[in-house]
Amino acid sequence: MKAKSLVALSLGLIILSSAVFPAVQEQENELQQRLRTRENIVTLMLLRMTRFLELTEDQTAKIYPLVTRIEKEKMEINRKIARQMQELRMILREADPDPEALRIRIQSLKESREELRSKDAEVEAQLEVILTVVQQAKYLVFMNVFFKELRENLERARNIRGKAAPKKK
Amino acid sequence: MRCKTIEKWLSDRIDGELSERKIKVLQTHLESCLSCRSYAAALEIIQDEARSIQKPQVSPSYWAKFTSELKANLSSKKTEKRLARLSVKRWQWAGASAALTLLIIVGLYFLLFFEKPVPEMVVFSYEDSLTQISQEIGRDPELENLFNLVVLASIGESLERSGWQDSPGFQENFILWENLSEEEIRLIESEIKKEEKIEEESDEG
Repeated sequence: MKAKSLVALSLGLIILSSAVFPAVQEQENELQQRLRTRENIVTLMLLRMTRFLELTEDQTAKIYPLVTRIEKEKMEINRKIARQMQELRMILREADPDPEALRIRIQSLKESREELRSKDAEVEAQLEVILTVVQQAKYLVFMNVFFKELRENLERARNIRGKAAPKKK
Repeated sequence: MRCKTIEKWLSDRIDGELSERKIKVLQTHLESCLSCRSYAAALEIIQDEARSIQKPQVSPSYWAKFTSELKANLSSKKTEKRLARLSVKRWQWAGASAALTLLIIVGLYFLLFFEKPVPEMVVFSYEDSLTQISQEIGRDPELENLFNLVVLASIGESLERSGWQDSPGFQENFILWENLSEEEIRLIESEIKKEEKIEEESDEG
């Protein structure tokens, strides 16, 4: 009897994990993809910024490692946020969500958001030291030029998909 | 009772056209209203003066001439007024048409030669841009993947323009290589091979 129960339990676990695992894997893949896209955007931004602000070699040597380091730290925070959000969703899915558990998750999410902001503030503070005033002004203009370019790239991606999609007869 | 009505009733009373009931109301009002009493007194004076004027002795031929002249004058005045009204209307129409035409021309000019100002979203940091783009992509892995490839192509173009192949230090640019996935490195590798092949073929040719 005991052996039968164990087998049934094991089978149940296997079935459950086979259903849950692909969903978790898919979420993880999505996150990986998003982070990779983000990395590429930042790389493109650094390249464009170098030209737009006419950065000197010395400035480049300071800004590139700074942004790369901050990006890595932010990536970790983003992973943490994704995890926290997942936990939050799971608690909310319960029939009777525990208010205390929710309060803890909300608080930790707020803290993570603050961490992200502090990283941005760190970059801005460093840029103020590294860049001249003219370059700082150009930086603000550049941010909007670059944002426009990103939107154009997104539009290109949409067009590519539109062309690749099979035409309806 | 309003004094305006009383003034009219006073005039009707002189003409003998006011009813007994109204005459009583009129009397009551006059007893209490100084202004209407004065008006009534003034009317009586005018009435007395009119009565004292002697009727002039005029021949019937004069009256016939007077009537025809009066009619002629009245009709010419009417025509003048109508013409004046018509010319004013004509000018008004001409002005309105000119204004409308001008408005249409100006409107077309602005429509054709001036772009509509699109409300622009201003970003202050690259994080703002990333957040915005991320929201626009949403949960669409296919679009995200295509967008990533377009960004990679832009990186390639940017590097090519900056002459990275001539730059000996570029290959050691850790920012670029560190951030690339295996798939992306393979894509770049295949693109480089394609270019090399094209170069070889053109050299042979």
